[in-house]
Amino acid sequence: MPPEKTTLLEIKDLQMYFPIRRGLLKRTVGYVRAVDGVSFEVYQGETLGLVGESGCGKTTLGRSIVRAYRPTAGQILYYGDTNGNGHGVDFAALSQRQMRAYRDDLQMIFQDPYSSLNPRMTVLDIVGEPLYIHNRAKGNALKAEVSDLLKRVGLRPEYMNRYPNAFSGGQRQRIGIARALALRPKLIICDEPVSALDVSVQAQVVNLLQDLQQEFGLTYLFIAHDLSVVQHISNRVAVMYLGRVAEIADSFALYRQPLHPYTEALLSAVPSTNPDISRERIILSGDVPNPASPPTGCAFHPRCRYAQAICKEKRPEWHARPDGHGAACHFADSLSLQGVH
Amino acid sequence: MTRPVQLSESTVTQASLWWITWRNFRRHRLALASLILLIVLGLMAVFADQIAPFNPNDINTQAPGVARGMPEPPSALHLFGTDNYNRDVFSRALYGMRVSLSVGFLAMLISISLGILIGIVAGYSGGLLDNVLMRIVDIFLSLPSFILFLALNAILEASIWNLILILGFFSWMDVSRMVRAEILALKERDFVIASMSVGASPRRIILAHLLPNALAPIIVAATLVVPSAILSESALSYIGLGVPPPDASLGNMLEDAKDWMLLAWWMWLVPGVLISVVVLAFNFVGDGLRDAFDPTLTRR
Repeated sequence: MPPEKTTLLEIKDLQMYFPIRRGLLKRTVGYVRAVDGVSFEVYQGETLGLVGESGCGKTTLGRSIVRAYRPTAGQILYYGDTNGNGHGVDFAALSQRQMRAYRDDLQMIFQDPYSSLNPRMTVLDIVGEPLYIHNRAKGNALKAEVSDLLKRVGLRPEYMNRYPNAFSGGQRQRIGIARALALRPKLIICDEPVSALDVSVQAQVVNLLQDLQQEFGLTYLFIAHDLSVVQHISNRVAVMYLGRVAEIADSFALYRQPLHPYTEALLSAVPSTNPDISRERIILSGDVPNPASPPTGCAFHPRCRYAQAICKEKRPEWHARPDGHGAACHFADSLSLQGVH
Repeated sequence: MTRPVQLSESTVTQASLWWITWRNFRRHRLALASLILLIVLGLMAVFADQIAPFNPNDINTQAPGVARGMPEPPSALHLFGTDNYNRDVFSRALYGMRVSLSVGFLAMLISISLGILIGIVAGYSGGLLDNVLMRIVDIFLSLPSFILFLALNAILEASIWNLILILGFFSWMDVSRMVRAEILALKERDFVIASMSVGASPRRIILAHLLPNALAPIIVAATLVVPSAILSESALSYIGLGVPPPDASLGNMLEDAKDWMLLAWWMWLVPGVLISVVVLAFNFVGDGLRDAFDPTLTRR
């Protein structure tokens, strides 16, 4: 972590609601609050891990940042624009046409290496597509650039005329990474890039991502549901629950001493490498509540073992510490929770 | 930063997806035989001018049978006999097949183009437009199309072109529904989101990502629209509302034959068998293609 922190991206109270439509006339009968008031910052050159259960809104958040969706409310402030006046550009307020100017700064790596590559396009066309769309290269120059990108992600350029079905999951993920690098972005949203891979391949891909971060000075927003992978790669970690951020902290602090009971429960599921230390395994009862009708008060209270009367009634404030560690829990300052050592 | 790479010889190419599909298709014996048969019949129709021994519309008043108004049975001169005007049935069948296949193909082109266009617009735009278009599809599907053909045929001048237009404009609905469903599913795939997130235009997303991946079911649907158009053409011609005489179509040859059912079996057997064989062959090819495109059936 560099000594001074420059904010590259700031999410301010972002909301992404999906309407639920019913009946012949498709009237809106409610909203799925996939992302419901999320705020955090991503610093230049860091890796911010974003963890949470399936359905907590982390993928929706990632996709909102690249403006695959139009956010319902809130701001996505980007400070990486060199022409900026220091206030940042609000991606949430841009039209798709205006957004195009920032597309080359911002890329995405996807979870499913099978769904993320068009089966009807060759590797050359897939990796070259961003370059082609942004008029960076054509013809032989495009081929040369693509082969350079393939080499950087550890693939042999000779295979660029093949279709994705000729590659394994790990190789496909490398193709996806090469595509994300093509425009030399500043920020890459990694949406569970290793969740679909074998453990041995996971390590290779994570190491590749770290090498590329060094080489190109990349900033990552690394979305995952697995804390052990996130711990390995992240400088800071944000924990999401039901469309909200439950806790943010430096990676080390979060693992050492979580402030939110949900983080504690997640940490207890991380396997220990030391067989002599036995930790209490916290099993959460029930499922993630329906984001169309979230529980009152603290969304986590029906599953929280420390829940009190107030948790049911009042939505917790954000408790921030001077070191940047913060949590949305009424008892963030009083609970002493179990971490991982 | 980059240096040119020698690609000419070292580049490893791979069997394209079309080649894989063709490999799978070849395994389907019946479909392959049907395809060969259709190609042969198609070539015969195209080169009817060269193959046909007689002008299909020539009436030979000197022939012995015509004086009595009788069709002649098959002979060395008239391979499939003649009709009651002494027109050569073999020649008429060739030209009739040309008409029927053209009607089938052109109606299919109209139907598929409309279906793709409406399906893509509905599936890609979503929302109100999608809703309106799909209700229009429902309305078209609920019309009794054959009776409408009759009415429109009666209003419009009887010609092959009007027939093609009518058949095309009333058979796009299933195609558009299918295309819409494909587009809806593909639109949420990650590679489409990836392309959007690098700033691809809707035009590029549709042409490079959505359409190529929806092509397989569209091709299958296209091969199944042709025989149904041929059948409709035959049915309309049979009741005298399709291809106007004296030009031959497989349908109006049947109509000519209806008064001679017992006396001249060759008059109805030839066009009847051709219609059945062509329709059946198209359906087999469609089935074969459906299997060939299905990636779950891919074997190495």
